[in-house]
Amino acid sequence: MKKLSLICMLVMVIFINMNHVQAEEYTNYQEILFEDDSVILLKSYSSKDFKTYYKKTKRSKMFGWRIYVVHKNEPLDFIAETKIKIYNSGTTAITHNIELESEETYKKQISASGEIKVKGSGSKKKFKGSVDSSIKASVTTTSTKSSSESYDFNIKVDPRTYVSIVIRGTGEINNGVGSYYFFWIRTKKGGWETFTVMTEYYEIIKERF
Amino acid sequence: MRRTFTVIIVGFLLLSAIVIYVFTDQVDQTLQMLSIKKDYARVLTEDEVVDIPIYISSNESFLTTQSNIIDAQIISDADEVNIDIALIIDQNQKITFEDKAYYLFHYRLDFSSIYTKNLKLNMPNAYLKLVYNNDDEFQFGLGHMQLLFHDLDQATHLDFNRLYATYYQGAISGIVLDLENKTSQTIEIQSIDNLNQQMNINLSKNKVVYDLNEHIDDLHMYLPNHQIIGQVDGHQESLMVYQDTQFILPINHHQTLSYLNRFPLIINYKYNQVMYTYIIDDYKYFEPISDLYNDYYEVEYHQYQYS
Repeated sequence: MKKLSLICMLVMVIFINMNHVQAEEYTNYQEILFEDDSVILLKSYSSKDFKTYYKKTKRSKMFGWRIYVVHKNEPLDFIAETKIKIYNSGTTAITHNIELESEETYKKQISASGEIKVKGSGSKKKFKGSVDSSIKASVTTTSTKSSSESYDFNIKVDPRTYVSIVIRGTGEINNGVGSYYFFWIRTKKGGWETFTVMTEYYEIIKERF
Repeated sequence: MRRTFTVIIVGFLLLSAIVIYVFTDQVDQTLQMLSIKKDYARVLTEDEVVDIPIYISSNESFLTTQSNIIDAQIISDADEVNIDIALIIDQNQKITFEDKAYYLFHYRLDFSSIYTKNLKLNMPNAYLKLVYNNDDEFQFGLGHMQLLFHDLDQATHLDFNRLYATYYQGAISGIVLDLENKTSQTIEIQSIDNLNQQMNINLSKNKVVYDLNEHIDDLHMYLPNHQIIGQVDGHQESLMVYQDTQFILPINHHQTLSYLNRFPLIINYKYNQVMYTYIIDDYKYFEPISDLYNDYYEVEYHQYQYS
């Protein structure tokens, strides 16, 4: 009986691990609203969803990935985290120079679940192995620019005040699942997602604390 | 026999190498460049610079070596301003535009040699003129450029607590500005200049909102009759700031929508019968994914052939 429980627990651990989403920044945004209410993020896929979508990749092949796109170029609005925070805990006002830069890594993000993995860091991040090119062949993602334009915003911050910049924006998402076949046998499967920021809108707020 | 064969092979390889070299050399003799007419409205302190994006079809050319530039100017119909190119920064970005690969460079403009406090330059249809040491000259369109040189050292009667924009079809339709009156008297705002003549703040159509913490997405919910495209009336009403007040300030785009995304607010106000100016530095309200992939800005094509 003890052995059976141990095996059950092991199976559960493997199952949970397989569906664990390798969290990226966008998955932690305060809010993501899709234009089409039926669109969901990869992290919101249920086990039933995965099961249904994996069936779409059932047609076996000799080698390589079979990709099923669930949501393609779906437009969305988001509220991201606070971009910058400046605290003035002192007793006199300070003048602060804000440098706002948008990184490419922030504008184009990916995440994966199951046996699809993400490798690299920063702007070099991509899906590990040949699945990357298979996904790229299935969906088109808009090129992004990482702006390092000189940006100096001079702001006065009173004592016991903090300044924050909240980012809202529009973007688009692609997600789906994939199965890898080796001699017509499925050996790997997992979920994938790409998130691209199209426009960012900045709101600056000063508050007393 | 073997020797003759070797000579023929070596000769063939040599000839191929020459052909490839000549062919490649000919391809490299043409550079394609893109400049963006995106308008500039900036308040510049003495050491502040302006970065101009230029896309070039090669990531290594004499055009992007700063020391090759012997003269740089901003020119418009009425003015010519001498500037310095402080840096040419490779953004390490290869992008494809209309099936051609380009590399993004920022030409960093330094105005310190002409910096004079309170000098305002208004240069409609401005160009960046660059002269290289081989006497070749380039003119890159910048759009409308308005600059104010100012150290931002100013009176402390006014401050802001919140600032953002509302949007219509990708362009700014209004500014939401929460102002704090730091005095015990009423402050009268007589004008707000955003250093741009294509889109202006319409003070007369302002709306005051109280205790509004949520974000306003749609200007028309508060100002349903505001026409976004149209001239601002000549006479503008004043804004009275009695205490902390949140204003919705609609913007009028004169003929077509302007996609200017960064500009200052130069607030001219009367306090205690004396006129003052409060400047909110040029704030970037939004940033699109790219200068090239939307239809916001006019793209100029340049071609350069050299031997």
